[in-house]
Amino acid sequence: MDSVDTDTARAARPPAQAGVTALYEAHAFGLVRLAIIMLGDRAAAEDVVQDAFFGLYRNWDKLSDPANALTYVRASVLNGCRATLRQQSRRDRRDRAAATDTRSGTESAESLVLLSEEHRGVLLAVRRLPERQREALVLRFYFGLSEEETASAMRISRGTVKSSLSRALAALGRMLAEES
Amino acid sequence: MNPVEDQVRAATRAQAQTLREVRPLRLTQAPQTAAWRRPGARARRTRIFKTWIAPATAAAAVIALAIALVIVRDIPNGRVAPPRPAVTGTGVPPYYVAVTGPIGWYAYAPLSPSPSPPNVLVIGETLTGKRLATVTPPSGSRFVGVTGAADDRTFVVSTMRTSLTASPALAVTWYLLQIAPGGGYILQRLDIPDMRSWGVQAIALSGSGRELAMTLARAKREAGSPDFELRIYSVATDKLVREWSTNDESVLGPGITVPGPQDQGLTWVDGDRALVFPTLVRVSRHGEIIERPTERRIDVTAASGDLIANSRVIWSLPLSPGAAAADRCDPFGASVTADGKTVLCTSRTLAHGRVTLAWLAFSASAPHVPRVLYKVTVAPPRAYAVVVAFLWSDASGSTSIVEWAVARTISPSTTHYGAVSHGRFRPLPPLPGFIEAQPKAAW
Repeated sequence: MDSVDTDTARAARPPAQAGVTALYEAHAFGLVRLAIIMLGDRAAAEDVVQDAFFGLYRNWDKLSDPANALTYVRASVLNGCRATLRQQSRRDRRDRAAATDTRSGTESAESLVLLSEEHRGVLLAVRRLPERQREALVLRFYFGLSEEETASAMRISRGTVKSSLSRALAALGRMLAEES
Repeated sequence: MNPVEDQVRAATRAQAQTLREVRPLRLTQAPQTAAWRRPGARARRTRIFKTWIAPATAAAAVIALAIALVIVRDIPNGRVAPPRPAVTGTGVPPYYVAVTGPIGWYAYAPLSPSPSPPNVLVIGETLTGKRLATVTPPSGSRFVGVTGAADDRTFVVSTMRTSLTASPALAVTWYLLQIAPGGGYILQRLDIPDMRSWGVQAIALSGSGRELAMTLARAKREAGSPDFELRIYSVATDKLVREWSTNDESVLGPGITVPGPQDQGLTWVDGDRALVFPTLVRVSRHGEIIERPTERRIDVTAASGDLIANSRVIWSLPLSPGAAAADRCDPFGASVTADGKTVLCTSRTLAHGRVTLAWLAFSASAPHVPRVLYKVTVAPPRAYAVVVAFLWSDASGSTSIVEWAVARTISPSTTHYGAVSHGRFRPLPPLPGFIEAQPKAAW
């Protein structure tokens, strides 16, 4: 039965370019915003999202079910953010520390103008969280995903999402209290 | 609602709203050659590709060799070597096994190239920092877990398939790793069945190396089915020996589902006669709901069945508002020593602009008054993060390997690793394979 279902899904899928383009038009804004929050760097965020969609395009025929494409590409964006942060970290950890500070020059001019001091402080604290906690926090509270959806996007269990969120909120509370 | 949640929502939305347009999608050119990509990014992608292919090719060759070795070199008397004392004069085990490179969820999204260091298993010497061997995973898989027996020679490691399109996706495979005298090793595949819809949360090899315990959480809830299980498999026969399950919220909550850096959260105690696992119990105190870390013990002779009914509480985090701040455990990461008589935890406090980190031990005979095994006080930078953890401890908790960091950016270069014994901290040399803070390693 599984193979029959898979074959049916493959036969019914739209062509790669049309399918990926439609998905991009519907979700690129949200995903770039997600990547900006993760990275604090708009250009890098757009690169990550473009890469994710291009990867989806190349692998379109391998998808077992196109209905899962958004989950798939969301996981790719998160993966790309993680890779970018690690790359920055290896290149120059000191520079990275500065880059994650929303008061540094790597934030877009728009962000500097539009963000309040309080928001900058919160974002700085969010970016100092361990990656898993930061991702769980952003998916849950910015993206508004349920715990199950967050678990699916991060490919971890629902319990681990809960624990990551609990830790993240506790750590943020401490950091914000210390900063104030 | 938690006020911090509100702050996060407001700040992330505020930043998201600064984005007013995105560039169009380009599908006709490979991203690394597209005109819109920044010059640095193109160079980076090329470098990633070149550095990734070589280890992948080498991985296939080394695994083929390892499998060949396993075929011709089985050890006598079954798979498990008898335990023997394996502690150095300083009290720490001579060997460690560490998983490097990407091990988390991000390793499994297949559409982006992985620029991280290669995912390998490093076998090293604790006191000298000498790398004894590097083991690459089977093609298409990554090492994800490691746990050791008391002899410091016998380990079980797990790999997970990285392809989401393979069937079954994300399948876990288990291997028995035995370190031979002189630093050689034997890697032998176990036939423990794949967990399918379960996610492995924590693993613990018994002191004898004969049983592998693991906690499993169902990735997606199914009505009428348990969401959490504790299982014991025989390493010699691969058979399921015991299985307990529950839907109890104290187990499903943040307590046991936290696989710490060392897959903590599950410990064999009392000569492998029992297992201890953490839960998080919600209690009401002065009208406020508090989550209280609690350790439960289950005897391995208990019949398979209900996990909570067959286990009992052996320790709960003291709720003593009058206690000194430094004596309060961090809410996560408490662990029990192998003799079952001591609970280890860490604490962190900020006072007068200085951060104090402490490694604490609660004795079963005095469960409310911790003993300070070691503490360190430092002046932190303006914005900083903290890491404080036990990485290993001996059966009584008298000697431990710990890590700590108080730094703006947590990395191996800002993290201190050392052995704590009799109130002293003895730094360890840089350990190959510890490429991240909070390494996944076993002794």
